[in-house]
Amino acid sequence: MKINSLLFVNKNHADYLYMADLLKEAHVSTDLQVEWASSYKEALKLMAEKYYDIYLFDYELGRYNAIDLLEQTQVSRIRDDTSEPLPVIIIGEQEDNQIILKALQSGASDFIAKRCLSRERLYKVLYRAYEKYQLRRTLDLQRQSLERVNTELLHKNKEIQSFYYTLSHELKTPLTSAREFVSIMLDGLAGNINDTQQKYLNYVKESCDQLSYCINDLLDATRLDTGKLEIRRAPCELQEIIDHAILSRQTVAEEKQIKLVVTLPRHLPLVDVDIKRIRQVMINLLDNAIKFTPNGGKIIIKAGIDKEALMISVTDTGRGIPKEHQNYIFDRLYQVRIDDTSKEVGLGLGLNICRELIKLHGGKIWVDSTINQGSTFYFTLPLAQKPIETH
Amino acid sequence: MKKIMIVEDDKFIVDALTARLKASGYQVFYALDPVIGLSIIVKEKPDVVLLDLNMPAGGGFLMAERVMRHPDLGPTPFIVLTASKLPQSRHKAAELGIKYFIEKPFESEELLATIRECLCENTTTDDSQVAN
Repeated sequence: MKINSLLFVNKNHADYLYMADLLKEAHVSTDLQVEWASSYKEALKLMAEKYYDIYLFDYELGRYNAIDLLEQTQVSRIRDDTSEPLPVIIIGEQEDNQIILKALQSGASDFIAKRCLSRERLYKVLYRAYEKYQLRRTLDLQRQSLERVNTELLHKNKEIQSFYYTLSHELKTPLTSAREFVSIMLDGLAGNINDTQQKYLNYVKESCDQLSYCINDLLDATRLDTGKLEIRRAPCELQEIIDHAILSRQTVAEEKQIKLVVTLPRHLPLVDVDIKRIRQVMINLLDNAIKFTPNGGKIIIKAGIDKEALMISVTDTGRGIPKEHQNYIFDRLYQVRIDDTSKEVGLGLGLNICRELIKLHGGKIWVDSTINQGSTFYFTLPLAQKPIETH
Repeated sequence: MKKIMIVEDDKFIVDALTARLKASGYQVFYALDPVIGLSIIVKEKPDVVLLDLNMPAGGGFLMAERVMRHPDLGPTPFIVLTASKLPQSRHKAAELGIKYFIEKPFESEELLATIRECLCENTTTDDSQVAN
């Protein structure tokens, strides 16, 4: 770090010569270029033309003073890549506290009284001001660049979000007509259909629903990612959430002869949750359990108070999750593939969405699993009211 | 026979809805864009309008506002039927006083139940106006 150029603003030529000598003697740098401006106007002109490493302003500049000049350079934004004030040192007749304060407030780096000017002092003051300016300028440029990146990222975030909304809309529109035409045929509105046709049409309808869930999951995952998913909490009963989930998955479970068992203690306190979102979590966990439980298996849903939360568990009699995978199953797009013949459906977003939704409610979700015996998923939900302590 | 107007730019969805609604005993009109939609609503004065949102010419909401402000039309009940998941869509519907909002893909039972509810409510409102 070397000071190579300096602008001295002073109306007296003899003072300039004296300063030039002093600077030479102070050994500021071997090839220091000192330029002189003899007036306020000339100083502004020179400063608009080029940058100097450092500036020395005499306080008295005739009609104006150094502070006027300082303020004017700020207004003209003489160095416009940064809003940091230029490294200006003001030289005054004496140490007048009011002038010093005003100078510093206007952005001067330092103030020296003429009678204190020495080679050593000058060297120190110049380099301190120069270093401070360089650091502040670098910091400011970095801040500006971070701000630019931040704005860009926010913009990209918005674009991604909007892309997914459009994608979801565009995918669902044809899906809607496909599904509705199938429903119309199934309801016999387009003429009689035979049993095989009915069976196949039901498959199409289910596939449409599967696609629709995938699209919703995709959109939810993006909204969770970009922090755009908001939850609306209200007190509600767990029973209602579980009933809703069971009702919506009963048929699928029955097809695999899977028994759904719910054992809830009486008088459970209300939970403070976004009912739609917790239903979604419950359905996701139930779907998962049904998917991995072989025909004729069993799924048990339990609940109980755990400290200041309600803990819900979903236990299946499926193939279990290997220990080494248990930490990752809540990560996005993570699916445990035990053998290549296992046909997994879904995007692998379900458990990730569950975790994020439970997190948004301030709860926890985890799994306990034994190979070939089954898995239990646990999650906690906040209570609408703190439990009354009994003594 | 109750009149139902469909304003929806997807012809397949219009055809599906028409088949379903006709089978349920409604008289069905439709328009594939909001401008034509408005002129049919003015002419036919439907009992319920099924409204898509993402459409050309300002979309469904703009047409709904025009219908609501139209001097020749009384209160017209709307059911929004959209594939849009944008939270703003729901807010805007609420702002306009449209309380029926169905997401696509929809269950036909839900749609038909909502239409019945909407018709029923509107009839009650008319009666209370007469009573007053």
